[in-house]
Parts: sequence; structure tokens; C-alpha cells
Amino acid sequence: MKVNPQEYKSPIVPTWCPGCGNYIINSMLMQALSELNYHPHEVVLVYDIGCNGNGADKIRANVVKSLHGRPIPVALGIKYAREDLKVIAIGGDGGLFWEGVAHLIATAQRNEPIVVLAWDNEIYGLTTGQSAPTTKKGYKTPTYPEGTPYEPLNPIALVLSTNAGFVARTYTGDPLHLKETLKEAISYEKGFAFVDILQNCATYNPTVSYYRERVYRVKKPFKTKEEAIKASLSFEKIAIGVLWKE
Amino acid sequence: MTKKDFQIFITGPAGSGVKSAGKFLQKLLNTYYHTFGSVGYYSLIKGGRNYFCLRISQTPIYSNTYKSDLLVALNKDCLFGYLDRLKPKGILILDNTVYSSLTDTEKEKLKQYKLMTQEFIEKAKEKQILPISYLLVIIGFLSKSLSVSLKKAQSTVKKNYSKAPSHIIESNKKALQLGFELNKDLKIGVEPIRRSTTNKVIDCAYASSLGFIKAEGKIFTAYPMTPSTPILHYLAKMKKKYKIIVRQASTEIEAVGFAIGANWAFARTLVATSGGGLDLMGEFISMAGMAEIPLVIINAQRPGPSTGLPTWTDQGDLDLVKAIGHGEFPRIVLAPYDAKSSYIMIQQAFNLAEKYQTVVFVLLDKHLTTSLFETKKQDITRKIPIERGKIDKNPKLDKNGFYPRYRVTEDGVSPRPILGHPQSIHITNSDEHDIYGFSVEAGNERVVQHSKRLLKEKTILKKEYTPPLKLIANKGADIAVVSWGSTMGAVYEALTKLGTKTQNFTYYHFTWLYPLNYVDLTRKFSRYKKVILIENNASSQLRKELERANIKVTKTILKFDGEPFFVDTLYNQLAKIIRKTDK
Ligand SMILES: Cc1ncc(C[n+]2csc(CCOP(=O)(O)OP(=O)(O)O)c2C)c(N)n1
Ligand code: SF4
Repeated sequence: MKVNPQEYKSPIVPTWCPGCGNYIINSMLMQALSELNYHPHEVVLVYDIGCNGNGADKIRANVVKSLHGRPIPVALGIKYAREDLKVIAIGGDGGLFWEGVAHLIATAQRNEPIVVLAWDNEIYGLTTGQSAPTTKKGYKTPTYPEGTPYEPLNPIALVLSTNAGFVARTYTGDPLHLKETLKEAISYEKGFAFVDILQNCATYNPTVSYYRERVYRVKKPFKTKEEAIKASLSFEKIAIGVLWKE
Repeated sequence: MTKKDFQIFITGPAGSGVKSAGKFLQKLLNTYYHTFGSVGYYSLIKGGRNYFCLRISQTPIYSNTYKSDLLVALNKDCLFGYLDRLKPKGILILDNTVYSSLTDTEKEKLKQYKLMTQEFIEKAKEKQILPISYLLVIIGFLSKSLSVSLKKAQSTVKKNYSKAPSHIIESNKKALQLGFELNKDLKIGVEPIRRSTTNKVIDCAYASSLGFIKAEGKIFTAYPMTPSTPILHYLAKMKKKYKIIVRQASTEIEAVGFAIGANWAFARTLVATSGGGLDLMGEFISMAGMAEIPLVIINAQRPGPSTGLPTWTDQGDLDLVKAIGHGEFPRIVLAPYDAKSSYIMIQQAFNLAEKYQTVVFVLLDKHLTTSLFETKKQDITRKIPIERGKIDKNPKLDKNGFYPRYRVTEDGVSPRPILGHPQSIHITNSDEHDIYGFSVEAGNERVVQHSKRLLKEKTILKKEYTPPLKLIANKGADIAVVSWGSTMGAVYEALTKLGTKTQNFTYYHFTWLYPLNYVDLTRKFSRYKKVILIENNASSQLRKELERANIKVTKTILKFDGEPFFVDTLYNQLAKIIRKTDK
């Protein structure tokens, strides 16, 4: 019998801004899990702190809301204690790529058996719009009113350079693509599954049309790491889909 | 002349095998005597001055003395670095190559000692003994004067180095034999008290590891940091046998986060670190407090601040474990003082952490994790019954579809539902939350939950608090001597010796350091006119707690040079204070 996505419904009403990509990620996550036939009690979601982490009680599953930048080690501990559960770590770009980047690199390098979903809005949402590691150079934020002075970090290239078994990118402008990508990541059983979800921040960094003009779909994962890395490097033509799968 | 007590001090550069040869000698001699061994080493891989300090006695002992009866120095630098540890007229053993490297004035300085020079190295070379075994020539030399037979020494070497390739074992055996042959007239004169024993000599890192296994621990994780690292090494060796997981974390933050995740999922998980590593764990410790997750952390102290003295000892982190982690939440601090108590307290720590769903610190230090304590077999096999606290095995969801994880209860402890059950879906939250774990903002829910968490401390005090051990009790004494943690061995011995001269003191030793029952302590200490507090730190950190119980510390004996207390020097300090005030 199919799992009804309603099982994942929390009574708590989300407080994200209208138009926030998090609504889409949250509902696609519920659908992906139910379509994969996971019941909520078989799933553990470990959240970061941020707008993303405010989703912690907006989904009905086993949830641990951890610390800023730290969902990965907690998720890992849970997975080692309970192999039978599906353990997913969720964080923002600030949390995963700066505050706790050591955890991302170490777990990816060791190809640890967890799923990591980056809700990557290229901005610090919850703390009202400061520059993030993935903020585009020149983008004006309260920290750098004259424009962010640095080139952004490339999370896909970073993770591809490790031994992560599964690396994908998707975006909130295409909910179905997002859902399918999540499903592939969650069903990956051979180690570390990383998905960089380019997420629209309606308030501090609206990106829907920016990405709509630039994304192209990769139908099948690249055959070699070199090709995958090469494709990941371009910010002009942005590859979405499963870029690497071992 | 026969003696009751004898201390051997062997010093050489890192890489010369002083530590392992010393340990071997202690294991060997433990058959015949009571022993206590400690190591000193520098934070480097080659060179420096390492030592192994081995005391043997006809009566039980728990520490070293500052002055030794015999000193072996493997080079000039170590010789003069540690010559002060040798008693005047003590025996000094040098290889003749070391002796001949000395200047005349240097030789002059050795006049006050009983010097024995030997051609250890030259003879070893002649016999084609491998350089790695040279030190065992000296061990053989000493063993002969300590009632050990060559046969016993050789069979022990085989057992002790069982993993070594056979040509090394052969070389070790030859070295011991040569040592026996060279020893013609060394007199030590401590009669053995026994011919065999089942007692073991182990350090507290090993004892804690055994305690963790006994506590049905499942996962150990750590980032290497002296002096906690031996625990990582021991458990890594034990993991197959006991089917545990041992993981080297990529940072201390990963280690503690991992432990929080695994403990949340009911796998007993231990983390060990030292001061600087603990500092990094602060935020997660605070999370354990808020989210109510069991957590056990061993902090093996070394002298700080900062990188400090990585390989030496100190008790400078009591204030830290009492305060680490922002916000207010209950915590427990335990301090073992030997191998047996380390073994027991790790087991207790897991029970407490799970019963009260919060953090428990076990404070060790370099002196404990690396010194070798004589330990009875039954002391490291006893199992403390496992208590896992309130676990709801038949969970029921509320109407809203969630299990109320943070239900308010009379003792502050909310049941944890088993994980992965259809009726146990729940939220564990580092944000302030309501009974379901849903995030809340300022207001009454916060007050309710914060009060609930803090209520656990009251429950802990009521149900678990362990008063200080009264190790020496003298009726009508005016003076209380107080200590905690690793200082116990030296303090106990010094006071026992002093007890033959005066009985005007009682000795209290704290093993449970936080939270304290101040009312109980006030009552216990009110009868003493003087309170002497002994600590291996500079600011007398336990004093702050005693003062909260209105106990006035009249005198402190503090040591913070990186070395532990020694019986002989501590005895002199105590005798001065206590006898002066003796009626
Ligand atoms: C240790 C620590 N530092 C800072 C913060 C404050 N803080 C909360 S969320 C956040 C960053 C949010 O940005 P991001 O991780 O990208 O998540 P988003 O809100 O965009 O989803 C920061 C700095 C914190 N909670 N903890
Ligand atoms: S600030 Fe941005 S990320 Fe946060 S809720 Fe609003 S739109 Fe979403």
C-alpha cells in the first residue's frame, strides 16, 4: 500500500515569506518520502538553524533540530546507531558551507551513508539577508552594502572533489525536478548523497527567473568525475539533475 | 639493610623506549611487590627527557615520591635534567659512554651519589643485541636485585611483547640475560611480599575503556588529543572483541555532535577529549541541555590555558565543566581517582546521563590516564546494573500526530519514546519548545520547559548526590583535609604517614563534584576549625564550591607545575601545617 503524503503533514503552519522556495522543498520532500514508501516513523530529519531549520516542525517525522552548521554530525551519529532508519540532514548554505563546512567535507570524503540536502538560497535568510558563501559577487547585502566582494563558493565542485557517491543539483523553480532528484538521493544506498537545492529567497535574494534562464537538465549522470566537475564550474549555464552517481 | 619502599627513576630521550621498558618492569615487579608507576614525556617524538618513575613497596601505595632511590639516565641531558629526583646517596646507574662524555666538573657533581657505570651498550653490541633492546639490558640488571629470576623475566618479555616479530623477542631475551650477567653487586634490599598475584597494573584510560564496555557502550568517538588519546587507542584495539564502533572524528565538534545523535538513538556513545577539545564542544553541550539528550564526556585534563603543557598534568578544568555551554541546564561532574573508580564511574556516568537526559562529565587528567595503578581483578569486572531511565516502550501519539516528548513530570524527567515506532514520532528541539517539541517564542511555554529542565537538578541532588568520601576519620579532629580527583593517592599516603604522629585531622575526598548539596556539606564541615584544600591547580577551584556551603578554607596546598603531587613533599607540607596547629 502506498504511503499517503498526508502522513507527513504537521499541524504547525509554516511561517516562511510568501513565495519562499522552502514551501516547495518542504512539500516535495513529503511527496518524495511518501512516494518512496517511507512512513514518517522510518525517517529522521536533522535540521540546521535558519529559515530552513524553521521547517523542523512543519513536517511530521522524527526530527532533531540541531545547531547552526551542525546537522551532519548529529545525523551521522543517528545513522550509526540505527542503520535501519533513513537519516537526512538539512541545512542552509550558511550553515553547511561556512559554519559547519568541515562536517560536509569530512563526511563526503568518507562517503558516509547519509543524505544531505542544502537549501541553498545564496543568502543568510533568518538573520535578515547577510552575504553567504554562495552569494554572487557584487550582490548588495547589509554586510556589504557596496556589493559582496568575493566570488562565491561552488558547493557542487567542492563535494565532487571528495569521494561522495551521489551529487545532484536542482532548484525550486521546477518542483517536479526537485522531487525526482530528492527521490533519487534518498534512495541512494551506496554512501553519501548530496543535493544542492537552489532555493528562491523571495525576500532577500529572488532568483527564480535568474535560474529559469540558465538551467539545463542533465538526463544521466556524467561518466567521469572530470566531466561532472567541468559542468559544475559554469554559473552561466547551470546543470541540474544527478551529476554524479557511483 | 632491608627497606620497605624503593623508587626507580629511568630517564631517556623520546624514542629510547623508556615508557614501554618501565611499564614492562612494573608488570614484572608487580608479581612480588605493590607498585605504582608514572610516566613523564615531552610533546615531541624524538629527543627531550622522558621518564618512567616506578615505586615498589611492601605495603599498598598509590603514588610516587619526588625523590628516588635509584636513577638511570640514558644521556647527559636527561641525567642533569632529572638528577634532583635522586636522593643524596642514591644509586646512579650510567652506561660508561654517558659517564665518559661528562666533563670533570660534571663528574664532580655526581660525587654525592653511589655511582655505578657499566658497559651496557658495548656488551650488547658484542652480543649482537638489537639497539631497540638496549634498555632491557638495564631492566635485566635491575631485575636481578629485585628477586626476579631470569626465567620469569624472559617469559614476561615474551608475553608483554607478544605481537613483536620473533627476532625482536629473541633480542629482548638476550638483553635481559646480559643484564643479569652484568649485575654483580647491586643491592636494593626490598624483600618481596608475595610470589604471585592476580592483581594487574593498569592506567585509568584502560580502566575507563573497560568501564565503557561494561556499561554496554556501543560507540566511541574522539579527535586525538593528549592525554585522552590512550582511550581511543585502547578501544580501537578492543572493538572487534566487544563489537563496538570506534570512530576518529574530523573535529571535536563532529565527535560530540555524533555522540548526541547516537545517544539520542539509544546507542550508548562516549566521547573523550582534553580541555581545548572540550572548549570546542561547548555549543553541543548546551544543546544536550536544551534538547535533553544523554551525553557522557571524558575530559582528561592537562595544564592550560590554550595548548598549554600537552603532556603534563593539572586539575584546571573544574570551573570549565561546571560552566561550559551557554544558558542554564543541569549537569553532573564526576571525578575518579584511580583505575577502579574510573572503571565504576564511567558506568555510573551512563546511567546518570540516560536517567536525567543531560550531560555528565568525567574528569580525568594526564596523571590518571597514563599512570599505572595496581588493581585487583574483581575491581575491574564488577558491573553496575544498567539503568536507562524513563523509556516509553508503548508510546502513543497525541491527537496532533506527535508524541509529547517534553511532557511535564514531577521530577522533571520526561519519558523518551523508543525510536522508529509508528506511535513514537517526535521532535527533539534545540530551540525552546513546548511539550511536543514545537518551537515557541517568549512566554509561558518557555517558563514551563526551562523550569522542568532545571527541576532535574533538584531530582539529581535528592536521588543521586554522593557526599565526599571520608577516607580517614579521626574522632574529635579539628582539621579537615579536602581533595578531589587524581590527588587522592598522594594525599592519602601522606596523611596515613602523618597519622602515626597526630590524629587531629579527617580526610574528605570528593568524587562527585557537581551539583553539590551545600546544606549537607555545611553540616559536615561545621565542626572543623581548619580546612586544608589540596588541588593540582593554581586558583583552588573547588574552594568556590566549598564557599557556597559556607565552608571557610583556611589553607590551600596548590601545585601547578605540570607534575602530580608527590607523597614525600606533600607530607612535609601537611606535617608543617597540621602539627603546628596540633593541640
Ligand atoms: C553558532 C551560531 N552562530 C550564528 C547563529 C545565527 N544564525 C542563525 S541562522 C544563520 C544563518 C542563516 O543562513 P543559512 O544557513 O544560509 O540559512 P537560511 O536562513 O538562509 O535558510 C545564522 C548566522 C546561530 N544560530 N548559531
Ligand atoms: S527570508 Fe527568504 S528564505 Fe527566509 S523565509 Fe523569507 S523568503 Fe524564505
